[in-house]
Amino acid sequence: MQPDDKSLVEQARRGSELAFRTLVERYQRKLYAMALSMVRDPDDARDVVQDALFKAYRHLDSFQGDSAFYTWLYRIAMNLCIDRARSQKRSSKVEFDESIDREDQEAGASGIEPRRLGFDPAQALRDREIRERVGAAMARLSPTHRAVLTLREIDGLSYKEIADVMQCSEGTVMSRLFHARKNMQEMLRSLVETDESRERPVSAPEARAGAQAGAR
Amino acid sequence: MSHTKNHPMQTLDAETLHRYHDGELAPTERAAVEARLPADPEAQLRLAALADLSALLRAASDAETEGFDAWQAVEKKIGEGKVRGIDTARPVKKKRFGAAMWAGVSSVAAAAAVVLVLLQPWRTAAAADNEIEIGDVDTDAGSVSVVKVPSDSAGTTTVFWVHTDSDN
Repeated sequence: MQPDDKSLVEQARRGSELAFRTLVERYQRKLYAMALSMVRDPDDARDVVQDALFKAYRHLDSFQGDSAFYTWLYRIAMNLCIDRARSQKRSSKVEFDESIDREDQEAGASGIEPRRLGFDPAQALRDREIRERVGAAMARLSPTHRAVLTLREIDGLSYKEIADVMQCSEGTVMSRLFHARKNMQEMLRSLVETDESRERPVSAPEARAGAQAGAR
Repeated sequence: MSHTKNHPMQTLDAETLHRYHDGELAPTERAAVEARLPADPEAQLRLAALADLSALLRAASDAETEGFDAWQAVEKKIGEGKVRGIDTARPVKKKRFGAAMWAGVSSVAAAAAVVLVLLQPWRTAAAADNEIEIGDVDTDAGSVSVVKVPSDSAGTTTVFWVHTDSDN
């Protein structure tokens, strides 16, 4: 049975590098996913994660235990990502496409039509082009939207934990998540519509009719 | 909320659907949603779209992060910290040094440091004993040593040494 974070932190505080290594291996990929979503450059993301983990090791005694260890760790990495994003000169990679949000607001509260992707996501990721276009769609989001989406979808944090990491309210987390998902669905919908090699995607009205037939 | 032509009951609202998808509803709320879903095809479609997006993002992230391993670099940093005399297994604590050590620190740090000097009216216990109080703060710009030097007057002088990359 794997030891829990609390006991590993205690062992690491007493000087056990093996305990800290276990913590590193437990969270490094998720930290990297979050860092990558924020800074968009693999080398920068790698630096952020390494710096965050080393900083956590140096300041283990300052971890109070009033939040989970991993939310404390994520908070350290998030702050480093924010610092790095601010200092980055390559702002074109992190520009937020505000037109997406404005279109949603003009469309009204209902926003875009919900739509199935029309292909198996796992299969799609084996298609490099699809993978790159998903990455391009993520890059068009603001860093904040990318972060909240990654923390929820990839890292599996709860709204409360995300609020703790991002130092905002749960209501703000919900709002950001809602808009981030809407923006991604809009951008990926155009991805589906232009992919002529696939079967024609089911339109929303057709999907509704299918769902109605299937539900009875 | 939207209103579908053939379904007099309003479809579930977006916030509820997102919370349901994310497992953020209380058990009773969750049960209520699940009771309504069979008669709400629009909500079913929205949930399926959320599930598709989640699966796509997870698959994309798995592809991007596969094989990522930070331990070697972190272990190296920890090792370098120990070589430099930084006790990385302990919190950053205040240390006390005599005046001779202060002279040594000042000669090393003066080569590539920025100094901010504040005058303070009160005396610390360390100042009263003619000792120098040092603390270290780790920042993204580098480490900062905080040194309080008892002065001949009634106060102490606080000096912040910012250690740049050119320091050892």
